[in-house]
Amino acid sequence: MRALWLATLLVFGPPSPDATAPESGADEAEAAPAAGFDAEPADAESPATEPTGPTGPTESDSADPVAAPSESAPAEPTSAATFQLAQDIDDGRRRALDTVLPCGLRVITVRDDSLPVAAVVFSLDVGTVDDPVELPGLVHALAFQLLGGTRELRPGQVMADVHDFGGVASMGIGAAQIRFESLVPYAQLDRVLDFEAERLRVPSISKRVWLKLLSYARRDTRPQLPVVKGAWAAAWGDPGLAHDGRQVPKELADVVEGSLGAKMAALFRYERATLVVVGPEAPEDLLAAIEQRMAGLPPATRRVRVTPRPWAQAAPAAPTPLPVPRQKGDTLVWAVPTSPDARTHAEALCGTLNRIPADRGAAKSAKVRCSFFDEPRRPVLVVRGVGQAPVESIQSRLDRIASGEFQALFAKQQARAHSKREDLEARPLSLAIAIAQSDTPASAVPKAQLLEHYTGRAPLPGPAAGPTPGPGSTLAPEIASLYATARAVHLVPEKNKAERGDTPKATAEARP
Amino acid sequence: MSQRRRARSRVGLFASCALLLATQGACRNRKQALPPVQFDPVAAAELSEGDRHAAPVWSEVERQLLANGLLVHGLHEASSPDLHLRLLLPTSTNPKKLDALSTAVALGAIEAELKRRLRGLKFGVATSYGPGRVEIIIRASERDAARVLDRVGLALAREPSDAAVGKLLQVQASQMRQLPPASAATAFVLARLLDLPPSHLLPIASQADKQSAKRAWRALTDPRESVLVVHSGAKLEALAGGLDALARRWKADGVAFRAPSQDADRRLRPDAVPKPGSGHLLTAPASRLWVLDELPTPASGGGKIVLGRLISTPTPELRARARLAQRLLQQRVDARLIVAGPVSVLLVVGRVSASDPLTYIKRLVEDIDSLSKEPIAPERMTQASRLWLGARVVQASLEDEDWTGLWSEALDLSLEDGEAGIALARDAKFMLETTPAQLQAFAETWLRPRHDEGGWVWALAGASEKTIAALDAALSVERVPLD
Repeated sequence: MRALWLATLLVFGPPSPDATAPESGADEAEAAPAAGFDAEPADAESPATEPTGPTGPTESDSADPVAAPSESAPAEPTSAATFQLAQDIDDGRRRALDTVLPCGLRVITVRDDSLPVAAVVFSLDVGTVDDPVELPGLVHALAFQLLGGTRELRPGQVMADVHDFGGVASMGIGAAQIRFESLVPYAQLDRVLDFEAERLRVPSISKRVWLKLLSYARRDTRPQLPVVKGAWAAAWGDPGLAHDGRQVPKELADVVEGSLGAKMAALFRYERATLVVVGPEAPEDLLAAIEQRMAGLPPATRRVRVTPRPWAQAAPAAPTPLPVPRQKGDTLVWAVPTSPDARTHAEALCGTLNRIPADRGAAKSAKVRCSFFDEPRRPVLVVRGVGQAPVESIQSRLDRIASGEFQALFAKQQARAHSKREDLEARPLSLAIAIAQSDTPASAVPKAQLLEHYTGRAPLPGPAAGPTPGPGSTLAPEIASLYATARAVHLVPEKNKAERGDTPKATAEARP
Repeated sequence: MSQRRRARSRVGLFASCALLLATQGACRNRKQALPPVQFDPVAAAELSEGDRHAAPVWSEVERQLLANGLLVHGLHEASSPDLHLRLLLPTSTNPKKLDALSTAVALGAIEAELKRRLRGLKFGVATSYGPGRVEIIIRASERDAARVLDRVGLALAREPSDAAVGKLLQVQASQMRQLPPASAATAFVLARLLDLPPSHLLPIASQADKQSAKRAWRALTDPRESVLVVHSGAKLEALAGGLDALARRWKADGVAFRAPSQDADRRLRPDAVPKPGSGHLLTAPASRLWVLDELPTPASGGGKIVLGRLISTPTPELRARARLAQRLLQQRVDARLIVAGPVSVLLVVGRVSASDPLTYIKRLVEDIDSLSKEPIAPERMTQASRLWLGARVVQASLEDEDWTGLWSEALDLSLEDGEAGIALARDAKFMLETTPAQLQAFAETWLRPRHDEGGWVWALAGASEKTIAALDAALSVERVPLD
């Protein structure tokens, strides 16, 4: 094992902080440090106080692995001081401490004193969309390979030790995220943080272990998707969604060890990772414990994954048709923005669509059914209509909701979504997972963020707000911009064999 | 080279080869046993900073006695959005009225009525069994606390109809027909150890009808005997409206079965503490082996055997050692422990071999004996303690962060309410601090079925006639008809 590790080192060199070429299907860019880390608009809490100027490790600071703040930038407060500032806001609302370490790892820590347990979630902004065309299922299999141990951890040690402590451990693999989740007694938090500091360092690779882990990957569950993969890919304009990312083709068994190592080194890097810890300790103390463990990692620039934004492009004249075998009725599929607020809004909208009565004068057979596929990095709204003029029926209902006709019903759905997220925030493991899943911008300096920033638990309009939607409920503009029928992918029944040549992948590539 | 020199060199060569082969042979001879290795003794693990936080501590627990006699314990967690209620209803304090089948029917009726009353609110209802009691677990939103408490009162005040009871009796009776042999044997052993009538714990031995089920419902829902544990973001003062409504709706009826106590531990346990008996297993004075006859499930093979004993646990140290002993025994046999304050019950469940039942039973007894005979490594004790303590809090977190389950366990680990707040942390501390010598002494006193203090009871269920006959030849067997 040691000889193999040395050989790998000689051939491929140590992990480099410099970016390798982005893989196909991975829209990736290194955040320009001068512009700050935030690619999204500033959050509602402190819109005017975004840091400016280089504040973290930059490419130009190659001689100094721990970059000093630029002299031209204003002096930034220290992490403890920043958080203390936030704690002085005595509004009883819980906050997370969010920062990026010199090695590029994003760290988010939250205090939860309810029970002596700690939830630790380690996520990577890599998923099945990053599979090479010739090797579908590779990223899914490589995620299992990360359980195969490192030079310090034996294969399966992390999960086995977590279970020995009385904890639970699991793994989540999605379109653009992989997560390692654990809930452990607080007494063992230090050990788990040690594991996370080791997880991506010099993974052990051997043919025997690789084949064993492939057998586990083969037995992984295949969740039922509420949307045809081709439609999912077309809605997002992301061909990487069109294949089954959990398949384990025979070709994977033939991948050579050196190639595996190179692939893992390219994809699984701390600068693409986020570590979330929820535990019964002050967030700054949790951060300090993590910083101490990650101090030995080389400095690196945080890599921000750019998510496609199909809703930001000019809307086509009509929905994009997609013939689908065995399709009944007409289905419209929209991409939903990945921000927590947008996902919450989509959930409430879907619940409202399912509960409003049919249009006056419409046939009894005209029905509309909505489902929201809340995949955290590629969510979609799926609305199916049956009966006469289904697309018009769907549009009509959306228009009625946008006009405010069902404000009370929408508010009730928002309250349900609000309550669901409240429950989520009260449980350490579900909170840690929700934070890891949230697509929110990282901050170069430690920042205190309200939990709803990550969970999308928007404050409900109070009784004084009346029937007019408050600022948190901008129905009409959102529905018009995001959920216009012209923007949707329109699934229609496949009429004849000639249409089968129009493959979903081709359709996805054809969309701008 | 001369011939003699050649001969000497050949001898020398042969000798060196022989020596080489001899040494090589010694290294390669896999059949030869290696000399025993003596490892340096490892010092007992010191309590880490984290171990000191192995269990929650509740320093401010509110207690209130409502107008209807219900005792309320309040666990306040600031800004929690949830309301967790756990209603503890004792059964072993009134075994004559609360036979197993009637209790199950009454519990089913309460659960159904609660679900009906709470419809329209966000809620969850579940039931479970604790030592000498049943527990009703309700989860709701803290915002709805007043309404939930009011409706819980309504549910507990409404006696079920004859039709509802009849339906539940049918359902429970059909479930009892599938009672597994291990469950039957366990219930029988428990009843013998606790000096309770078998019908109290063994459903198939109880002759329940609609009237007995209704009597059980009335006995179970006496607020003067019950304890309500409330885990909420609001203190009891803020819940006063809801608690008053609960007390108004759910009134006590008739004369109290016992003088009501303001201490939860006393409410939940019978007045008399059962004492261990004197029987041993496989050694005189030998306990007879009870064989449960004519179970609803057909007998096959060797059946299931359950061995059990009472352990006197009047101090927290003894309770911690009992748990640690069970966790270590669990690594060899299916050992379970029920802790109920001053007394605990250890049960060991095994599957008897049909071809040679006596040998299997002897091996089972030896496995239990082994804890007192073999040296116990300190790291093994630490690992067993940490697994138990860790899993306890992780499980509570996964179950919606409900403190009431842990509080129920804390009541079992204490003799008086005042201790319950620190009971779990104290239990953790004593488990981690127990030395191998202390554990071994405990095992010698309580876990040597042949030679300890005595008081073992055992029962076999689901065995074929051939197995029973084979055991009858070697042991003192007594058959117990259950129809």
